[in-house]
Amino acid sequence: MRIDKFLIAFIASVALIFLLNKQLGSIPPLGKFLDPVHGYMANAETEKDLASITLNNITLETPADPATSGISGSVYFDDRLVPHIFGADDQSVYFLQGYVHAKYRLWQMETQTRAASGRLSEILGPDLLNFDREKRRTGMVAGAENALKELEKDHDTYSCILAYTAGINEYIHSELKNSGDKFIYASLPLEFKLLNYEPETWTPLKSMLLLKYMANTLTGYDNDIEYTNIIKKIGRNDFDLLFPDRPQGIDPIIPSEKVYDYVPAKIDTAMDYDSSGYYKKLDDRKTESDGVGSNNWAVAPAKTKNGHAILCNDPHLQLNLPSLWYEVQLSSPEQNVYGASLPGAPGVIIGFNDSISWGVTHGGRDVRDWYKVTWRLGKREEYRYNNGWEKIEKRVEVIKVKGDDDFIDTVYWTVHGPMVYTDFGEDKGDWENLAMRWAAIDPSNEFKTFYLLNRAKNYDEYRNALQYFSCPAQNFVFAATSGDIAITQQGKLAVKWPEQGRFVLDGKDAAGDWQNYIPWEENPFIKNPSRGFVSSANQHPTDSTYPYYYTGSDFEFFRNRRINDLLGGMQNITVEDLEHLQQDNFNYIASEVLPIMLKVFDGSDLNNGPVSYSTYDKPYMNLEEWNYMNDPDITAPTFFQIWWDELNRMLWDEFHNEDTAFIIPDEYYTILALKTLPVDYKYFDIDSTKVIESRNDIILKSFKSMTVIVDSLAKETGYENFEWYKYKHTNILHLAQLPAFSSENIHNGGYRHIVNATSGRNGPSWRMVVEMSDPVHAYGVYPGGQSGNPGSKYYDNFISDWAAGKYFILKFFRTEEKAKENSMFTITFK
Amino acid sequence: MKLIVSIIISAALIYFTQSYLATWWLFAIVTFIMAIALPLKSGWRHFFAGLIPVAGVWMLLYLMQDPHNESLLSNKVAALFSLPNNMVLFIVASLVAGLIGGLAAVAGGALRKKK
Repeated sequence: MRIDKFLIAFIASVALIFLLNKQLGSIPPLGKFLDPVHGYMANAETEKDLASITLNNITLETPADPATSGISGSVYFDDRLVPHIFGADDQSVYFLQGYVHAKYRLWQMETQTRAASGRLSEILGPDLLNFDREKRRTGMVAGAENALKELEKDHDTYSCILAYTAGINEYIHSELKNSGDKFIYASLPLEFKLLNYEPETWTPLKSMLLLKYMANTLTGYDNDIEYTNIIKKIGRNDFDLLFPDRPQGIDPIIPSEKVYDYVPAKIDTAMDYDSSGYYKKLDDRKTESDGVGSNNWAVAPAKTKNGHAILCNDPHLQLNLPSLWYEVQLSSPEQNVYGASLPGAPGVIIGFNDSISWGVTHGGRDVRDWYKVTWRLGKREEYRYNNGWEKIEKRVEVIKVKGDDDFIDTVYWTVHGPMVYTDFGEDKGDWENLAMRWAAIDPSNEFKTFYLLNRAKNYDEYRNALQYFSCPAQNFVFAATSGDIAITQQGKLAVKWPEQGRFVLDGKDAAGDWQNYIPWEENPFIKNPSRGFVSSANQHPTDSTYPYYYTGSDFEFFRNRRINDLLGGMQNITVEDLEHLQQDNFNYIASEVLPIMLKVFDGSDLNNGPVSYSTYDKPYMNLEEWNYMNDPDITAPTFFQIWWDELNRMLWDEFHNEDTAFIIPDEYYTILALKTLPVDYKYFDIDSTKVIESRNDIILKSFKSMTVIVDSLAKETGYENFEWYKYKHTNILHLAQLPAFSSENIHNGGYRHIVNATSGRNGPSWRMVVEMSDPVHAYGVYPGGQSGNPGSKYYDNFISDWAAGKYFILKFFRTEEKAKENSMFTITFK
Repeated sequence: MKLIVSIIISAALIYFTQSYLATWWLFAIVTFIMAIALPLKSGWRHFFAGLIPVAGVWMLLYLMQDPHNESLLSNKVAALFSLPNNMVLFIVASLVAGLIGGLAAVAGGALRKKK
């Protein structure tokens, strides 16, 4: 009996321990995780975590310059947990930056670089396999490896990355591991415990992967395939009408006073676009930026109240926790710079120093083209190129999968680049014969630009820094204490013949290659224009006098005009004025199109108008009175947006197809069509109905459809949920999509194509306003917090201020003494 | 009386192992050995002599640490497991640990009484 009792109790307790020590599906090893001392509670931040510490005898194992291996400096954390890093030399500064990035953001750094290199299946299992395969097949790792080779050739950037990497690894080694080089479970960042894996040693390649991850966010989409299908379907005339390269009324970055007095480099032109068949619609294909974009501008001293130039920047990116950005001040005898850094990369990406400030927006230029490959005898061994046959290069990718065998993938590489969908395992139709040419894979050293900008003193040094920046093409805005302002669109951009790369190119013909590059000095730029300001918001960079052909799939047409309208009319500008401009909620689209939409009711009593739209009468009423502001607490923007979405859907029904890849015309063209096309123009007709619709029919039908949607939404969630912020529903999600660690339904206005570009998942990821006085006065905020630890009060403490449009004073210390006086605690390295 | 003594000694030992040693289930060895060293009258008594100190010490450790963090993380982790609040999380976790401790004690007790 007792033996039975022993066995039952013994086995039961051992089994329970075993079970709770193991990961079960997505549930972490619960025993370890819930351990009140070493489990998640060890990540609950307390006062002790904010106490000063000193670390002794830190040296670099492999310095770029063997004479200087010692690390010496201090990190002073201010009351917002922003580190002010004062180092004895640059090497120490970058080492300390690596150390604090790792201390506060290690899991994020690890995850983003894993995502970039297609290594998520390794930790999250087979569900991520297709994601990983796509990353491998787009050449992200090859791009990072190429970038690393370039970076290593340059002594400055090489020693910078070595010191930075060593700083990250110093943290991993000294804080997360025991003397036996094993990880201490209690010390691991929370998400490693939750997802049950351990961080890897950092390498310079990982920092390069992070840059490629950004490049992919900004340039990992195009319309080439869709345009190829559309022009085949509707012909050249209609295509030019609906999808113009340069629509009427564009307001470019470079004002028209700029004279381009050079002759562009000549290249071979040839070929027609591929028109052999239709490309299938692919589920995960990205054709637009999805609200990723940015604003920046600088105003000249003559336009400001205090007589100093003021620079502003707000990059619109996916809103996540931990935040993409991490504020930092870096100070050594060679530099003193403050701004937003990317955890995983050394230096400051957007910021200012004592003399200059700079910011970036995405250039929007098309840097990704597709080439049709012709196989020899139908076998995937050789392909036609430049009157000969080339052997295909096969690269084998081994993808480790958690809880499963390794997945072996073969990627075919042509002279143009990788074939993304060949032998993908499911039928991708003609996509299987396409090779991708993508500028992000080419060798380049973007770090050099930031390295030089961080210590630039004037306009010439700003210009000099930019030449190293290749991809993604960015609009670098500039302002200096001297009063100079400037903007440059910089990237290593191919010289293209007209419409080269708008459609699928024929890979056989070398005339379709990127034959030459625009000299960087001939990229669009302007210094101190007569209008007294420079600005960019992802629109066309130039007017039609620019000598080079270029295209882009997603140039902005609204935000830029609003910014220029307002800046043009402003005088005696203050920092507060420009903060308000960054928060501007004016809906340019609505202002241009809503009057036309409302006109169809033509003065009839709207509630008894020609449309019977059930019982809900409010939408119409408040649309007439609306001032076109997408403010958070009003309902008009919601009704307008639903109506507008429905109108676009109905109007462009010709391009909604289950099987074939199409896109619909841009919103600017929809407005133009409603304004200028004959009311019975063919596209106004809805193909699926028996009657022939005119322009007014479409407007009324979409209105009716809006009221139906409104009614059903009201039944579902109640009338109180039509306030704009609730409908728009901005979520700042944890990178692992865990709601408990996310911040949802943020109270904020704005939308896509609005200066305050806050949509459901994207928005101003960092807002910065810098007055170039002496000393510089700077203000900034981002929707997150300095700590990546969900157990810290500094994890999301900026979000409410960000949503409310408030800014923090960015404390930029000129001396270490001042930093020390203002510090909450210090980490000292001797 | 003996039960209370057992609980107090176990609790002290568990507090030590849990605080300073990283293996979360050492408490089961403590209650197992305690049940051999200090036999009680019945299996149920052993069970509670195991459960109470383990659950109690876990709860104590949670409650000692949690206020320093103003329950910030514990409430988030509770939400992660779809529990209403941190107290429910603490109680459930402590009871599960206690159950293991209790079963280990029953096993230890059975071993001792066997001869």
